[in-house]
Amino acid sequence: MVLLYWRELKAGSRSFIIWAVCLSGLMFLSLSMFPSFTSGQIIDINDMLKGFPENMLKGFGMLGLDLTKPMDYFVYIYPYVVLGAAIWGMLMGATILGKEEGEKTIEFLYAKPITRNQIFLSKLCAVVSQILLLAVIFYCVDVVAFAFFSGGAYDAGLLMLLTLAIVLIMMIFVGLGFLLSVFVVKPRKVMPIALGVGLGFYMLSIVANIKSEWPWLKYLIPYQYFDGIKILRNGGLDAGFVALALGVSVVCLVAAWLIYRRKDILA
Amino acid sequence: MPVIATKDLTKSYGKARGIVEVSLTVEAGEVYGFIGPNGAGKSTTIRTLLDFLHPTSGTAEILGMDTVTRSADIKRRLGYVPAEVNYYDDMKVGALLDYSIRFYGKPDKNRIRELGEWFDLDMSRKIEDLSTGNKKKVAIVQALLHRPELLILDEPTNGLDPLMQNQLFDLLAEEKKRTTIFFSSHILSEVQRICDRVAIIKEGRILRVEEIAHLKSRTHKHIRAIGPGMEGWKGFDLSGASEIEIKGEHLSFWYTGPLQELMRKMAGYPMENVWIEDPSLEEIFLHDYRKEG
Repeated sequence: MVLLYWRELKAGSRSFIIWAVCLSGLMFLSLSMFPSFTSGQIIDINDMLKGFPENMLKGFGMLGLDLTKPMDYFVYIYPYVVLGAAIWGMLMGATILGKEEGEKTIEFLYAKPITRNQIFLSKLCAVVSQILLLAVIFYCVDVVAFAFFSGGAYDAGLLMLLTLAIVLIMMIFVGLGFLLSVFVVKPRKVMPIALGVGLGFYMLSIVANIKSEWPWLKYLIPYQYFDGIKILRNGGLDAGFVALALGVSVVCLVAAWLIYRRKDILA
Repeated sequence: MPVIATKDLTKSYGKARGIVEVSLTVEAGEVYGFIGPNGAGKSTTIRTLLDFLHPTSGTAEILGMDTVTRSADIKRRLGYVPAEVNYYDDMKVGALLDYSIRFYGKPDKNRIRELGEWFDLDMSRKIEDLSTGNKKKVAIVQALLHRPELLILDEPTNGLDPLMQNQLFDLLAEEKKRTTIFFSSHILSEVQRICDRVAIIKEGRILRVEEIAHLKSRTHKHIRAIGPGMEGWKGFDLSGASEIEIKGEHLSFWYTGPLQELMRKMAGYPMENVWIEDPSLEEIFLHDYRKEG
């Protein structure tokens, strides 16, 4: 099992580096623009935002944010990082298990003395390890970026909670990915579905932000479980949504595992 | 205790035919051929034995262990060469073999080197750069690394050039001293060359299981004769003759029965030439296949 775990980490290292660099880079670059929001603009950025339609500000999670404050500014760029991380989580979940069948390498792997449970668990552990490592990188990059661009003015506790929320959202998408991969095994078929699900939920999230009269909608959209502004204002994650996120993730993973251990492997 | 024992093993999935009530017994030390045309159910049988596919009904045991519940324990003691070889493209040959042997415990570097040399493998080459034949060689080597008690080969000569095929057969001849071999193929001469017994599968069902020696000594003879200018073959019949074909001067048929009867009958015809041939395994198979079909 340990053998397969290390193999998966190694095999996924290139993809991990690309995604980690891109997402951390996005965060770092975005934070690098923070000083320009505070340094004596001709037009105050908050005044400018007031001129925008309220629905637009709501939709993109900018309503009530003071972009001259570092943590508010961070929450403004946060959804885009979450979106990227969620898509990557889904892609990882959807390909790490199914690709062995899609690329027919399962005929090698499953001819070895290893059970399907061990295959499933090794691959899941490899994915979770990468997510945790990504979270550590995110946190470190943020700390460095805040040190550079806001003179170290940030809330470490909040930053940690926001990073933890990314991990939880990623785990939901990993669960969905694993579930997808027991049905669709070819990577080229999985990719557009994973992208579609990640972006589709994002669009629904915009709708949910605007349509406050549909409160049930937020339960269907993982991005809504951990809204940056709410975390900022409440100073914590909503315990109900933490439980819901973990529940959805576990239910998807258990369903995928139950199907995987019984399914015919058609290499 | 048989090495492989299946009883009424059936696998049906979707619209594919699968296999129907396959019952086989492979004894220790045997080289067991598994013959049938493409799509007959050879790979389905093997994949069911290896727990890639779950049996719809029936049972299968390998080395006395149930193939569904004890699959990993079984695989510790068997080697498998799939019909189509697909490996991780990012790996080099040496790395793949090292990865492979680690599933069985401490890697035996000498064994990797020894088998690699036998097949003249370049350990530093990337898997994705290998030809089909070279990938097949890697598959054979990785299946033998841990000195398995049972070797399951699904169309192992596919993609190997004749020289390499000979080397494979030499290696198998060596391995059979300590390993039971289950050899699936659609090329009967291969089976004839190495196997002790053969099971013939057609449309998912086992037609028969025979000793190779018995199969070869079957009394079916292939008779061909030419009688120039003759119309006399018309209406040719003989007890024990089957599949009689008359094309102008040419007569051909299969015959089983006393040769004296055959000679007596044939002596009644003015012939330019006559051939009484022992059939090849291919011909026996095709003959049986048509008959059963």
